[in-house]
Amino acid sequence: MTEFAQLLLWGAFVCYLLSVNLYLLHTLVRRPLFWRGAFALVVLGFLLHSLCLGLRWYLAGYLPVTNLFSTLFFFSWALAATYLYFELRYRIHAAGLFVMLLNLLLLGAALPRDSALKPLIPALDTPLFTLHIAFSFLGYAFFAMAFSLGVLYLFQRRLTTPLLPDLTLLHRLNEEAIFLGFALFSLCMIFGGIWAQIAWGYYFSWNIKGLWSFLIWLFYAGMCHAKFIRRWQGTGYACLSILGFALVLFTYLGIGLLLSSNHPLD
Amino acid sequence: MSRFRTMLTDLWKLCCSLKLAIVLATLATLTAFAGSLLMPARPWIFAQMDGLSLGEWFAAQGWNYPEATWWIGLYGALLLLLGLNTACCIIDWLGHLRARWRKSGEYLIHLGFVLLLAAYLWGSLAGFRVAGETLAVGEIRPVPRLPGHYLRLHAVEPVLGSSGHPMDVRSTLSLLRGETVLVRQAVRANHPLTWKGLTVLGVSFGQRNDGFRFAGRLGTVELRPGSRVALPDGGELHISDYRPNGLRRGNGGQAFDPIFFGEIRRPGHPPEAFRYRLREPLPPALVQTGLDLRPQAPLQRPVSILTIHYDPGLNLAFAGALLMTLGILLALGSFYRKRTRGDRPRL
Repeated sequence: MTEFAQLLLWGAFVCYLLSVNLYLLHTLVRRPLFWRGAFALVVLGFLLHSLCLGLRWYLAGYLPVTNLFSTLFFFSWALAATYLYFELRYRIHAAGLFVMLLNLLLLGAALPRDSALKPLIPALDTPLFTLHIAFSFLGYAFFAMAFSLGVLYLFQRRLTTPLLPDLTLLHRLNEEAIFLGFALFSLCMIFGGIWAQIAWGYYFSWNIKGLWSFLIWLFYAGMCHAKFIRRWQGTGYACLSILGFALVLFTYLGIGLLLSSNHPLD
Repeated sequence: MSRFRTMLTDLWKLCCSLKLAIVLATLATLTAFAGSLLMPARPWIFAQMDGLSLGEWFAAQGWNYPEATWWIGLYGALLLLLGLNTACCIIDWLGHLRARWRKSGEYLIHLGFVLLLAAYLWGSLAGFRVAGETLAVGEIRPVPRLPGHYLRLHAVEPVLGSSGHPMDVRSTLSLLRGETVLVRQAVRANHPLTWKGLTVLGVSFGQRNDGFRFAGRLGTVELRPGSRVALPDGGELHISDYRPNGLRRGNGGQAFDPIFFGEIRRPGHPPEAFRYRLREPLPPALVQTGLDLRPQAPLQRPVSILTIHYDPGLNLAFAGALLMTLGILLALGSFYRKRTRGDRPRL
């Protein structure tokens, strides 16, 4: 069963890898066939990825997002889902190259790591934990999408290429990604707080992870307000999206791997 | 008069200002960013932050290490100002509710945030956290710093995993006010005993030496605080106290040096107090009664190790979280509704 899960995982990775190559070809040759093929591969990869996630969930008896492998794996799945959401809604086509490349990096970083399913410690054995991590990584995925859209906005501003959506749409998509990411991350913080209260007796921890998570929340709350200020439209907003994702990456990987916290990624 | 009115209006506009909110949020973010860099470098200052309420921690460490903790006061002040700014925005919104009701979701998130901040401030100033409280099975002890409330431990047992390893500990506890049981709960991971702002968590379990077993002319006798033994001369032996670590109270590091305190009561005589240190021979008062007590083994009693937190703002925090969740759902619903109508929202 676990070998089959491993097969599904590699299948998803190969699909994403091929889709990135087709997106790349599309940017060079500009044939609709290439982006259609790339999109079909993303859908196939996402299906395999989802099957693998479902199988691992079934085998473990809990949503397995507890170590570096499983968080990278789940982050990648959430990012693929977020990309599909935007692609299906807005047909962003070549804009998918950057997002899928990021997704490929996440899944590629997960592949060589230990994928064994370990028994869940009692403190994590609660639906609040499942909700906390699911909303956390979905929020992260939207922030990653906003980062990609921010980078593309800066590219488009410089290149003005018909391959990418126009600046207005990119800005609007960026705003949407930030808003949805903020909403999901807020739910992550709320469920995490309730869980911390019943598990440790306090809903806010002065651990560095707790502090930085709140900083991320505050930063994106500020971004949800900054869009009403003319000076922060366009380039400023794109730069903030990039900065915000740097904070997210530090909170997720930097603190999880380099510092001692209550969210270790061993 | 009109000038004063204009000033007041300007002041109110500043209090509700979106730009002010962004400035305060940015400053708070930068302050906490700078401060968080100090945290890993000085674990002896910050490691115990979750073990105490923020007010108590700051009162101790803030004064001792001002160079490392200055940012927490500044961060708190900025968040407080941000909370006030948000509260002003909500009041302003309520004043224009008929025109702005579509923004209800967003403003519920704001209200939730304000309530959470207020609850945290309240809990930090009026709450307390106590760790490492041990309670033996059958024992009743007052809840620290909550007069009139007691905890009774009915049972404590380890919860073993499928491989036989201890995974958790289950302590059956009652919270009493006077003699009235307020709540009874089997406390284990993610299942604390909660009552109003009080949260009692079972952290671990252990054993406590609370007496000694003796052999002698009377057979096997178990002595612990509260024990009564009929003596051969018609009197009665009362044990009032037992200390496994000699005369030192608390968790002192002294070697095992048990000692009993008690008295001998005989009809028509005043009680005769004694102190029996087990490393020494029986005291003369006990020898005279005809007792011969030979220590056999210490008596152990299972204990639960508890953490007790009290946060008076807890219900307010839950209300804030609930409002925020409701606000998020409404804001999401409103966002998609506007989009299906082709009305692109200015978020």
